[in-house]
Amino acid sequence: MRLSNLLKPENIIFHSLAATQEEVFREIAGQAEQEGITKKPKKIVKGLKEREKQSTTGFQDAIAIPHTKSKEVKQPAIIIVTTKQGVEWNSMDSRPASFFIALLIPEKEEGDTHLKILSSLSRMLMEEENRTQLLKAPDEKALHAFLTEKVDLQKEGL
Amino acid sequence: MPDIKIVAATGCPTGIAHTFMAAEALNKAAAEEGVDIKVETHGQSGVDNELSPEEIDKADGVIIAADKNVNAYRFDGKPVVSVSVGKGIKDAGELIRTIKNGEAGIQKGTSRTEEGAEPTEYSDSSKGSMTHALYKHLMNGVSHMLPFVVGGGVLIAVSFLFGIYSADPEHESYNPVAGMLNTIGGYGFQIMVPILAAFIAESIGKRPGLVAGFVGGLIANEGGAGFLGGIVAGFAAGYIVVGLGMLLEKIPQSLNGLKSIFLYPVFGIFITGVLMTLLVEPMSAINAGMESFLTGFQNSSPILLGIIVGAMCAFDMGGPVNKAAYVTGTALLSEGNMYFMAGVSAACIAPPLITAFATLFFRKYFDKSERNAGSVNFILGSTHITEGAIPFAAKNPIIVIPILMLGSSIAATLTYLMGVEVPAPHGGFLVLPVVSGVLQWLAAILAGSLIGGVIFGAYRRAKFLKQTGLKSSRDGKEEENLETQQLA
Repeated sequence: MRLSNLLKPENIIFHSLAATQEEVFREIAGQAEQEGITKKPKKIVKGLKEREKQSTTGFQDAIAIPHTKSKEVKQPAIIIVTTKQGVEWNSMDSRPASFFIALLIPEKEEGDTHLKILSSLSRMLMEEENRTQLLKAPDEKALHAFLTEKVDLQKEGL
Repeated sequence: MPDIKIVAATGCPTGIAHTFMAAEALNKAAAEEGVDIKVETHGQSGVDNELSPEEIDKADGVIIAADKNVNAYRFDGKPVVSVSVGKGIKDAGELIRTIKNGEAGIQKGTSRTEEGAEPTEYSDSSKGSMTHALYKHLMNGVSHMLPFVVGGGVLIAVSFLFGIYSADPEHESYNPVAGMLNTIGGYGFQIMVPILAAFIAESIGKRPGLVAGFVGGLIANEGGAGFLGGIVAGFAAGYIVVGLGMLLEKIPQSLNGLKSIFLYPVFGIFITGVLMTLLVEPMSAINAGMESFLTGFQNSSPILLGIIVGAMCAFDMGGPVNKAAYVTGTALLSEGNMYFMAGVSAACIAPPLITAFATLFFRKYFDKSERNAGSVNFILGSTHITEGAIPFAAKNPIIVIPILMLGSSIAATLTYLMGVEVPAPHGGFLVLPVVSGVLQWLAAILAGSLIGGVIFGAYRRAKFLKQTGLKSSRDGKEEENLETQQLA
């Protein structure tokens, strides 16, 4: 499995109008429902919120990685949402977030390759250079190309 | 400073993103600081890049960046910085420098908490707290026994719904379905003590311990030694196997296969078996002695009788002492004394209800499986299935059993004082229609159960407050494996 199996180009939403955490989550869950990743978007929103309660998923440079593991997730998926305006996320650098990489993980363990991919994605984000590239991506297509290349290459390099 | 070596462990509750971000951050920061690092990740897919005991031993310091248990007891005696996973991502460089500059404190075998990091809950059992290790072994047995108690108990309780004699083929109310349910539930109960013994022994002596523990537990059960006998069997079997391991150390490596498939089982079972057989030998004598002792008291004052009956019934719940009280009750019942049995029943019904009320009123001081078992105990208590309280008692017999004895004594004493008569030897509240003095009997049982329940709950609360931060030892598995690896 590769990142491209988890991240479909349709699941990258640029310039969302969501302005609160709730709205960002609804955007993510709505997209998940539309793509058949889940049948119960409300449960997804709830799961994402609960994870956020444990500790913030806000990272730095406006990036946050909300994620949830739920039996309502039918297949593992990544959904990326960028918002027009910054959303308060209690991030580590105290700045609002506007670039959301949501990881949706099913409850059932069917191999752990998707988890490996998600972990290399997380590791990749630690590289400042990569973050800059992400935030600079002009459109969905460019972002998708950058991420798949970066993560899948890194994986093969390991 | 050349060649500084650091080991680190990262983990977060979901184990998907932050665990790995922190690992990456530490790797990067270590490269910048020019130190050598190995980072173990506790992620969703398990532990990766696991640290070996040698690596930990050689390391100059340890960084824990985790919001979950990463088995920090391994790092006892090393300089350790322990922080939340978030801090690991954000301040990795600072953490590395703390170790590099030798500013980290030495981790002792006690709990330490820093910014939401999991306290090191396991003191190293090989050198540290002995009682903690004993408790952990006991818990392993109890947690495996619990489902058998619940499953068997509920099936037996359901069989009573057909009538309390419905499982007896000789009786006119015999119902084959009830008979089957009762038999199946009975098997669940029969294996309860062997399971308890087996998994106490497994916790101590791994698989060879399990084998000897099963047989030892079976002997305890068949010999009528009850769950206390099972606890003895479990510890005996576990340590016998550990002792065997030391004796067999000198045997050449090439015979290792022989060890695990032949020497451990044969000698483990043999020594445990002989010991347990000798131990259960006096059980029938104890049982008979207690019976004649009790019969001598049958006409004494209601208060004294109540205290004795209550204490006996709750002492070992199915062991020789409890059985003595119960058998005396049924014997007197057949002579037409329905007064004595009323107290025995009350005292047998109270223990599960005590645990049920305790988990109801003091919910948050019990773990999830205990809360569920507590709710089930409303059913088991109401149907005179005392065994429901065993998992609670077995976790800490020295304190919990006296509490149960007190509650049962109150229930029995009040029952005798109010002169209640119960003409049935079993069935709990299902026999209420034939009880004379129903309300008094219920009041007596409730009083004993509530008082006992509040004391038990208060004890758990005090214990919890004393060791805030400690969790139930379910995720202690890996430690057990480490300890006993040499045996396999």
